[in-house]
Amino acid sequence: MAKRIFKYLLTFSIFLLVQVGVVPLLTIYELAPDLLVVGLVLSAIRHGATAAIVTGFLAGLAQDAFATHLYGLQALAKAVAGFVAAYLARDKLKFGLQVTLGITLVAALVHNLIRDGIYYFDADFSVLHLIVRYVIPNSLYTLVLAAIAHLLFAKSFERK
Amino acid sequence: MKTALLDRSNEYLISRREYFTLFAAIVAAIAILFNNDAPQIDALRGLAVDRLALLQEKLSWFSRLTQSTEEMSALRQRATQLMLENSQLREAYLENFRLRRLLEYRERTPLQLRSARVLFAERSRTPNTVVIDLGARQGMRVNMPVVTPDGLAGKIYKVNARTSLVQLLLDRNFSVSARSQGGRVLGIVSWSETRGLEMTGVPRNAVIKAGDMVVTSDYSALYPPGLRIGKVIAPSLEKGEPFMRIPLEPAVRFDRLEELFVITTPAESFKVTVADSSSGD
Repeated sequence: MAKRIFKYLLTFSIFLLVQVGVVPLLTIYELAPDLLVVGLVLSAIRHGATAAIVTGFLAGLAQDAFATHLYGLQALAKAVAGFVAAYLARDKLKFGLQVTLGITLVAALVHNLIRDGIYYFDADFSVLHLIVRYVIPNSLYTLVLAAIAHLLFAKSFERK
Repeated sequence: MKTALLDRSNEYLISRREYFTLFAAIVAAIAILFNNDAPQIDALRGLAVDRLALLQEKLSWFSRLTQSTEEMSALRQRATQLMLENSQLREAYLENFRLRRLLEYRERTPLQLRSARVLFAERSRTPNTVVIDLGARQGMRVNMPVVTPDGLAGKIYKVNARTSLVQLLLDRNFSVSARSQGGRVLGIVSWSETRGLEMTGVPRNAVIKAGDMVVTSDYSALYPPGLRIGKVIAPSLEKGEPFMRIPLEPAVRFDRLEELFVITTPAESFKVTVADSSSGD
């Protein structure tokens, strides 16, 4: 049990380090993928909703410490995204590429809508602009990362 | 029977644990998020207060159907105006004695008031504030004085679109230039948790006694002169201190704030310059 928890924490620590260290290098026009959302989908598929929500909350807090000046923002977005991913995955038994990408896309959309919605709350542009300029492109970028992850580690995307 | 009920409630909690976890995570994240001091969060807070105020307004509509709100509001506004006029007349009467030899003196501009309803109080927080139902759309601006028929209540601290936060006199960061109404003794009135409302910076030899009324001074940049602040309880002289501490009983009953009045007259209009008031003395 302890070994499993340690492995779980280690995996998310690596995800977090890659997210704050490497992913910023992949930024294109202020758009960046979110590896932790892919990790949350993985956690939701393998361990269920409670694990995904708690992991999302804690990983979000850790990411907030590195990334934004709004402490708690990523925690909120990722906890909800974890729940959404687990909710969509709850009745599925097999997780092929399409199913995984579908879950990731919805989770990433919800995540980005919350995160960018609050982050740009006082910005001088409309909700439509927010969605078209930030939410959808960021989600699609995350989707690309999820596709690569699924192709490389297809076995990990299976229910335990 | 009891065990079965317990088992059933346990079962329910376990089967719904993800919803409880999500709820706890959202509450915790929002609590952390709202502790940030960022412009986005300020805007979110403003929106939340505005929406809450709108909701409360809609709900209170039913309970106030029987009352003639407008009439009551107009009467209260009139009462406050009369109180201010009365206060100013008393001021003028006292001034007459002092400024008998003056050739001319400027008449003070009549104050314009806007009535506001207290929506809710945020007493547990710093600053000690109440939220009123007037905002930027009604022409409210930061630092506008807020009064009741009894005297000075505070000033506008923050303005949202439909609501404003009023920083009360009973806030530790609030201070106002004041003087005693009879003796013309000047000082600063402020509030602290330990000492309550008090006037400080008063010289030891100043003549001030219990029961004297303390009002806003002519030198305040924000408040019109002559607004009642509080009544002197008992001046105290501490050994070695060059100044007196004068505890005050607030003129306004802060536990019964329902209707407030915002003075919308620009501060420049009621500011009496030192040169004007002292030229004849």
